[in-house]
Amino acid sequence: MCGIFASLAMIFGYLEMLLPIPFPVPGMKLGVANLVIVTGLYVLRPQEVAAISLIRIVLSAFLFGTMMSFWYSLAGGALSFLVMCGVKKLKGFSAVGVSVSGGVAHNIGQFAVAAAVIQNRMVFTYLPPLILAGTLTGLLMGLLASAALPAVKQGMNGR
Amino acid sequence: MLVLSLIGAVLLLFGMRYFLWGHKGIGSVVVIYTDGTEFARYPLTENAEIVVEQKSGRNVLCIEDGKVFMREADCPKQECVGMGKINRIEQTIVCLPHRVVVEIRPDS
Repeated sequence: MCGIFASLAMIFGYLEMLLPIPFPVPGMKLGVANLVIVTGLYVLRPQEVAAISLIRIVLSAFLFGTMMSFWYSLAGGALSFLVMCGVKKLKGFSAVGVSVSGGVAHNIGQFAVAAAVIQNRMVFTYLPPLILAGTLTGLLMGLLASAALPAVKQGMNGR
Repeated sequence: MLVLSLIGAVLLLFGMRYFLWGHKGIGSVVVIYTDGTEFARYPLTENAEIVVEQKSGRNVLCIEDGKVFMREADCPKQECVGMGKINRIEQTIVCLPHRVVVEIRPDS
């Protein structure tokens, strides 16, 4: 099961790379792979989701990315996972809310790496649009995840 | 309601680029940083072509008509090239893979 989720996450990530959609904010992406991660949080154990995310990040970076992209993905993915686990435990947050928090956290994690790499105060001016972008993409992915969840749960119950 | 706020948010995202940066007015100096240290600075008043050649890659900046932009770069995503022309204080062009930051400042 984890293998299926991990491969799906990798495929989604790769597909996203193939279609370059121009965003106003540099480095912004839809984060379609997070769709798999968010869904996974609701049907698998947290350790399994963490493993899936890690495997996806490592393999994607080595297959399609660079050393730098690996660190960005790792920072974003790790922070995103931790934040999503925490938010999921809070009452009143649906899958959409969890996804939004994950998207924002992902961008902040990536931004932190960029800020450390580029030691210039001015990079912080990119933070507000990044956060807004993370919210929007997280929202979109969250809506997709919550739509897919019933089908995924049903499919998994057959096992 | 949700649709309206979504549209508003998307508009805000695209508009932020203009609201956030450049409220301090037009600048006069371009400062180029590589790896966090100052590489060179040029006045916006003189047209110039500046090549930044590093181990990580090559960036070509162009000062033209009081504005600076990234004419070419050999980084994979070309995000710096897409950042357009800047001339207002605190506006920046950033090439992340090459660690190049181009910043507009008020005075030397």
